[in-house]
Amino acid sequence: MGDLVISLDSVSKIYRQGQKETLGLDAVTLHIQEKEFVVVRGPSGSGKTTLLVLIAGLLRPSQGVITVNQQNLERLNSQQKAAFRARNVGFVFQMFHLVPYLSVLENVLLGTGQRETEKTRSVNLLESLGLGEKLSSLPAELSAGEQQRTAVARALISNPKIILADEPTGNLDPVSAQTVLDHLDQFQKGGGTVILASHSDLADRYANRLVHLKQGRISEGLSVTADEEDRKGNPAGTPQS
Amino acid sequence: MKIWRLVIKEIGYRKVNFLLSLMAVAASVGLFTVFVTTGEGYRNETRKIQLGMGQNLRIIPLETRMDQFWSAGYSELTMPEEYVYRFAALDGYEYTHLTATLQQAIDLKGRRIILTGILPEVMPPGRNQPPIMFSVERGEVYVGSEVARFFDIQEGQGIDLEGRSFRVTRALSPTGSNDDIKVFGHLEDIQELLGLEDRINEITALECLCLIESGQTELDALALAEAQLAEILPEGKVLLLRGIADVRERQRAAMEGYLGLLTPLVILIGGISIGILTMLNVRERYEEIGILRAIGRGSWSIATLFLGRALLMGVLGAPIGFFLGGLIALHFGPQIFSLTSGALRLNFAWLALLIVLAPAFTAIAAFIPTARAVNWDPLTTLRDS
Ligand SMILES: Nc1ncnc2c1ncn2[C@@H]1O[C@H](COP(=O)(O)OP(=O)(O)OP(=O)(O)O)[C@@H](O)[C@H]1O
Ligand SMILES: [Mg+2]
Repeated sequence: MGDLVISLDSVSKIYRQGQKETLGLDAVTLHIQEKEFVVVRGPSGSGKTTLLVLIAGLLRPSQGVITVNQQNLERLNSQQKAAFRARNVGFVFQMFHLVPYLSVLENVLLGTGQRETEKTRSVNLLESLGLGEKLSSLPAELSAGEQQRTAVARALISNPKIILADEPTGNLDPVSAQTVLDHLDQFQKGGGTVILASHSDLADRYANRLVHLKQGRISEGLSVTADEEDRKGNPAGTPQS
Repeated sequence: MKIWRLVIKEIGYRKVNFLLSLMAVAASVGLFTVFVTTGEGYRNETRKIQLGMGQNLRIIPLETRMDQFWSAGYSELTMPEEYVYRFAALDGYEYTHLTATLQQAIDLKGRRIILTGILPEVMPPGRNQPPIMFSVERGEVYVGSEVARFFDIQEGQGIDLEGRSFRVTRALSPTGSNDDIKVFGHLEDIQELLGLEDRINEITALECLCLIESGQTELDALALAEAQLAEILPEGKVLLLRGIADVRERQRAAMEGYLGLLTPLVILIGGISIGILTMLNVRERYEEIGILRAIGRGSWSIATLFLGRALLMGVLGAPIGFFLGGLIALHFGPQIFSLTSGALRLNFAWLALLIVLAPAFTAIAAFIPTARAVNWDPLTTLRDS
C-alpha cells in the first residue's frame, strides 16, 4: 500500500492534575499507512481520544515522537500546528462541537479556511449526507445524527489527508451511523486515511486494521485485512524503528 | 469563512452580552461627554460669572496717598480724563460699566459737600445695556439726602454752586454712605466748576473681568492688572476689589476637581465592566475556541474573534454615548450644574477623538480575556468525557 502517514514511536501521555498523574497513553508505537482505515477500539478511559488528539497535534506527548505526513509535530509551534491541521487533518468529535451561532452550511464552510469559494462543494456534500433541507438550520435545531453528519461534512470539506473521528457514531441511531460510516469509507476509498475511535464494533467491518487499546496500551494489533502486507509495503519504515 | 463574519454572527447570537458591553461603552463615553461638555461650559461660564458678579476695578492717580484716599473717599490728585478711553480701548478687559469721576470737597454755606462729576457710562464696544450708574445732564445736579435735608432743597429748585446755578432734578434718598453729602453733576460741569478741565480722579470699571484665569488668586489678578495697566496708564494705580467672583470661582474649581476625579473613575468602571463581560463571553466560547483550533485556525483568528468584537463595541458605543451624553449635558446641564444653556455646546471634535479612543479602550479592556482565550488549551473543552 501507500506511504507511511502517521507514526507514533513509544508515545506516552501523562495527564497531570496537581499532584495526581493519570496515564492516558503508555508507550504506544503505531504506524499507519496512506489509505488505511484504522479502527481504534477500547473501553472507556483506555486512551482512544488521547491517541487521536495527539495525532492531531492538539496535545503534546509526554514522551515519544509523533510524525504526521513526514512532519515531526514536536518541531512545530502552535501557529504552525494550526496551519498544519488546516491542511492535513479533519477532526470529527464525539460531541460534534459545532459553532452554535452558525448554520449547518456555515459550520461546514468554517472548515474551508478563509476561502469563500467552497459553497457549492459544501452544499453538495451536505446534500449527499442528507442535510439538503437543513442548510440554514442552527445546530440547536438539529438532531444528534444531523449534528454529527454536519461535523463529518466539516471534516471532509477541506480535503484533508487524514480524518480523525472520535466516536463519530456514539450518539447516533443505526441509520445515521451508517450514513456517517459510508462517507468515511468513501473518503478512504478516495485516497484518504481514516482513524476512527470507537468502543463498539459498529465500524469494525469498514476497518482494514483494528487496534485495541487497554489502559493506554495497545493490547493486540489485529489485522482485519492484510496488516502484514501493509507492513511489508512500507520499506521506508519509521525514523526511530 | 472570514473571521469577521463570525464576529458579526456571534454578536447576533449572544445579543445580551454585546448589548451590555455596548451599554458599558456608551455609559462611559456618555458620562465622559457630559463631563467635558459641562467642563467646557464651566470654562465659558466662568468668564461670564466674573463678568456678572466680578470685581470692581478702581483706577486712581498714581501718587495718591492711601491714608488720604481712604479717609476722604477720593483722591486729592487727578489724572487725565483720556485714561478712561484708553482703558476702554484695551483688549482683554471686559466690563459692564465703565465710568470716570472727578470729586472734590468744597464748602457750601458753612457745610462740607463733595462735588462729584460723573462721566456718562462708557459702553463696552458692541454692547448695549442699561447703565447702572446714573448720569446727570449738563446744567443739572442730583443732591444727596443730607444736602437736600440741610439746605431744604426740593426737586425742581435751583442751586448755586461756585457762582453757577444748576437745576436740582433729583434729591436722592439716604444711602448710608458719603453719597449723602455729595452733589452729583455732569463731569464737564464739575471740571469747569473746579477749574480742572479734562481731569478726573477715579476710573471705575464695575463687574470687570480682568483676564483672571481660573486658579489665579486675587493678588495675581492685581499684579497682572497693575503690570498691564502701568504701560497704558502711567499715572494710574489700580485698586481691585474682589467680589462674589471669588466664591463662584472656588465653586467652579471644586467642581472641576470633582469631575477630574470622576472621569477616570467612570473610565475605570467602564473598562472593568467590559473586561468582565468579555471574560464571560470568552468562558461561554471555550468550546468554539477549541473547534477553531482543531479546525486549524491560528491564534490570530481567535484574537480577532474577541478583539474584533471589542473594537466593534467601541466604534458603535462611542457615537451612541457621545450623543446621549451630549443630550443629557445640554438638557440637564443648566439645572444640575446651574450653567446657562448658552455656555453649553456639543464639541464634535470630541466625537472624532472618542471614535478613535473608545475602540482602543475596549480593546485594552478585552485584552486579558482575549489573551486567555488565545492561550486556552483547546482540549480542555473538547474532551469527550
Ligand atoms: N485532561 C485530562 N486530565 C486528566 N486526565 C485525563 C484527561 N484526559 C484524559 N484523561 C485520562 O486519561 C485516560 C484516557 O482518556 P481518554 O479520554 O483518552 O479515553 P477514551 O478511551 O477516549 O475514553 P471514552 O471512550 O470514554 O471517550 C482516562 O483515564 C482519562 O481519565
Ligand atoms: Mg474518548
